[in-house]
Amino acid sequence: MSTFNGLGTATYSTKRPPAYASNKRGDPVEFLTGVSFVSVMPADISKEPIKTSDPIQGQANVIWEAYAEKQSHVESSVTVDQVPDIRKGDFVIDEEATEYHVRRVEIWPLTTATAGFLRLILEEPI
Amino acid sequence: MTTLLSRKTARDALVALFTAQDLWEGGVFGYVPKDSAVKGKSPVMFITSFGTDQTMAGRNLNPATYTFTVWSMVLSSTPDESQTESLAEDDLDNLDRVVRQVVRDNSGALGSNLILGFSDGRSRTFFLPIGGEKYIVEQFQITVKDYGSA
Repeated sequence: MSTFNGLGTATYSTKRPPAYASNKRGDPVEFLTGVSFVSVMPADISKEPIKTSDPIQGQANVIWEAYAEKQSHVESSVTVDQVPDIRKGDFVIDEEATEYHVRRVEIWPLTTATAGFLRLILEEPI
Repeated sequence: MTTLLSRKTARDALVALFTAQDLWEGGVFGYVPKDSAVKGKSPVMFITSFGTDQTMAGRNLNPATYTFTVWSMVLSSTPDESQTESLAEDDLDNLDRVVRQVVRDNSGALGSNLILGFSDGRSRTFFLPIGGEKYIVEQFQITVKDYGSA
């Protein structure tokens, strides 16, 4: 049993904005489904989630982190077995349909195909 | 004595005018929305209140001039390169023309309470990160003159 297998009890999906077309880019569309995640948790060792303020607008956000590893899941309706393809700007949707904006993705080792895991920094506006 | 509109009415009218152009796919917002509400869409427009200039020129001729900041924004590039920095500049230039056309087309409607103009005819551009993605923003200062309704 691999490192996160026992902890990866949540199943999340992701959305990704589509490609540019006719000088426009529309609403994010479903991209990954059935991805096992270690549930989102506060991205800090202190008791409360980090609250940040966007430096330009002053918008308040709560910062979370979540972990996933190389696994079989569905990407654009095709079953794949790799580290989930998630990048900055995507949206992660949890089991309560809360959408988190992906602000940072840390992959180790640096490949999406071979054994590895990723740590996501997620932003939830409040 | 005539009754002035509220600045919100003028801002809503501006939002409706630009929404009707059907060019800002990400939406025309009459405020600055959360990053997650923009959701990586492009182009996007924000319209925010800048201030009011209340002129006192006579008993029945005291027009209010509402100034709004109009942010016309285009995504700079995408990882799949369906949008590139070069195309983004082209998009921005095209949208600049549309904004100026809208103001010019609504700048002299006789009998209308809303007359558009520019408080400063010079727009300015800069970059803004939204949701971790880089947008090019062009800001315009658009005025709406209100002579009040009878």
